[in-house]
Amino acid sequence: MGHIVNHVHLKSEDPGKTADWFVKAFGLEIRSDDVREAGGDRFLRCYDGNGFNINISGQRDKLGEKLDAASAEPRFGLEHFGFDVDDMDSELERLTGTRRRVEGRPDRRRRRFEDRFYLGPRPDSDRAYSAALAGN
Amino acid sequence: MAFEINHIHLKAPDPRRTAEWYVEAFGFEILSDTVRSFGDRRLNCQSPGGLIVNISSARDGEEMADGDAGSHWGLEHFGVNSDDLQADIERLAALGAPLLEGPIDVPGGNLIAFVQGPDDVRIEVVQQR
Repeated sequence: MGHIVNHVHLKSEDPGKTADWFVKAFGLEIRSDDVREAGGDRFLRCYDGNGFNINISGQRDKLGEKLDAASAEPRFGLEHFGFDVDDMDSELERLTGTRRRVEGRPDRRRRRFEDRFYLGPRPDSDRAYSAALAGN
Repeated sequence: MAFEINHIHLKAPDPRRTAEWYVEAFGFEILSDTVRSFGDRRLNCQSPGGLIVNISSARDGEEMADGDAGSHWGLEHFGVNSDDLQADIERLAALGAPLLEGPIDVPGGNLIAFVQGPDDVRIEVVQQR
């Protein structure tokens, strides 16, 4: 099988709301929506357009889990993930229309657009996610 | 139509060293190693299965917070398949990635564990069943 990267995982206070946002913003497909027995957390399994798995779940209260604050600021470690887009300008307009915060400007120097894009159910809180958009 | 994930991005003080760790630990392939116009060194890596993992340093003037390998809100971890979880836990510990949590036998699901990768990255190791 090999060490295939099989998913990324987002933790959210309201995983259903977060998943719905990604469905609207990036067309993710929700394949399952369950409450897990061991942790008591709501767990949504979502897929991108290529079948890559994005899990979104809550806090595992039954295990006594207390999640630390999130950060959408630059940081070492796992910082962000990126989506492909066909038209950077229109996607930025569409996504910022949902009141997400954009940092920086697209880099057009090598005819490649790349930007950092902050997104999440509540952009002004610490429950935010950082993602990049990359287009050709 | 659903968008496709383009990459996941790791930030590291020494991105070459981090990339080489992923090469050894999980068989990543380094596709390029460049210094970008932003002043950061960026390694473009391909993981087994094809997902691109970029690993780069701070950009010029960028102040970086620490990583967080603990459980937290937001983008928390990524998962990597394993054929033999226990063997991989021991192997990864020997490579400097200590066990954080597990192994956990998920009822009706997989056997999983969390390890602390370089730069405080939380990595889930998944033995599918």
